[in-house]
Amino acid sequence: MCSLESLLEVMATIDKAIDKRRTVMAAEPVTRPAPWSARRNRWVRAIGVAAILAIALDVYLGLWVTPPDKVQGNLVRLLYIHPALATVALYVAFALAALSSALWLWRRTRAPFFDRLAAASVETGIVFIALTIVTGSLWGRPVWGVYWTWDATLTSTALLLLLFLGYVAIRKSTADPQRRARRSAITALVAFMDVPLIQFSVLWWKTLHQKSTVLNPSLTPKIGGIMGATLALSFVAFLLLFVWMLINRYRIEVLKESLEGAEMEVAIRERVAEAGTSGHLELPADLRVPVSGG
Amino acid sequence: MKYIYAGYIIALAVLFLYGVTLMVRRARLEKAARTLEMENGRSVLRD
Repeated sequence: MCSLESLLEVMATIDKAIDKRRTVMAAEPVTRPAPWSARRNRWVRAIGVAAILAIALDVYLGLWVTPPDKVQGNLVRLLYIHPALATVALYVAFALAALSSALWLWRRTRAPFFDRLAAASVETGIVFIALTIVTGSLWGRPVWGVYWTWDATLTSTALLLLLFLGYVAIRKSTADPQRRARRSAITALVAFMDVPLIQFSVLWWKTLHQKSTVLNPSLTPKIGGIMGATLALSFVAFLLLFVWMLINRYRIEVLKESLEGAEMEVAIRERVAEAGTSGHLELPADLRVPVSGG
Repeated sequence: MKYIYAGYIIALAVLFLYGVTLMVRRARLEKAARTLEMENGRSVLRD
């Protein structure tokens, strides 16, 4: 009981300090919560605008300016979105997630920043890889005659999507931040092992999927001129878009964790305050230990 | 060409919707953080 009284005194002191601070804050204008300064927000907005403009230009060039291919005809136009989506998903989003997860797992660099960055990167990467599969299917229908086939590249890409969806499910499986971060980090590293499989599947196995146009083993790009320039632009455009989405998704993660913590503090304070008015702390029925007589 | 147009439309629509969803989620959470900040008298952010 003594410890409860001193705890209530401490809470009362905190409440007085909060009331005093609230009076001061009421006189100040409401500002955007730190640590995101106006300058940083301007940069983020600029990245978003640049991404929209770059994608618009890529779509215009891809659909109406670039010539049809000698072999694929107009079907080559999907080349100006599909590889960019795949590259950003595999080698930027999921690679960043794997790197962040490794840095979190290593004790010397462990920080909540890496866990949040991995989560943000994975969620955004999932959107990109799903679109890679969809655009690839739409390209495959007129070329191969089927939307889907169980060849090595497509199957390993679908597996990657499922593995990272599993990452998202694992993050929701526990509320404990440390446990959540550890499980997610290990999952991300395991899932990322599928990425080299996807990259080299076109070389190792007989697949329907065409081989690399730019990064082929002989390092001789098989595309040039306006088509090559539009392809390069598509990589830049989708990379900018990914960066913008990653920043926003990261901020959402920070806000979610902060609000969870703050709401918990408020709930504890209210519970303690309740205990103060009733004179004693009452445990819920399922937690009460029966007191034996004598 | 219909497959090409479909691919572009689906990709751009999904990316646009995801972008809008992110902005709306962030705005809602920032509003909630500002409300809690006013109630508690201190910043709730932990970045």
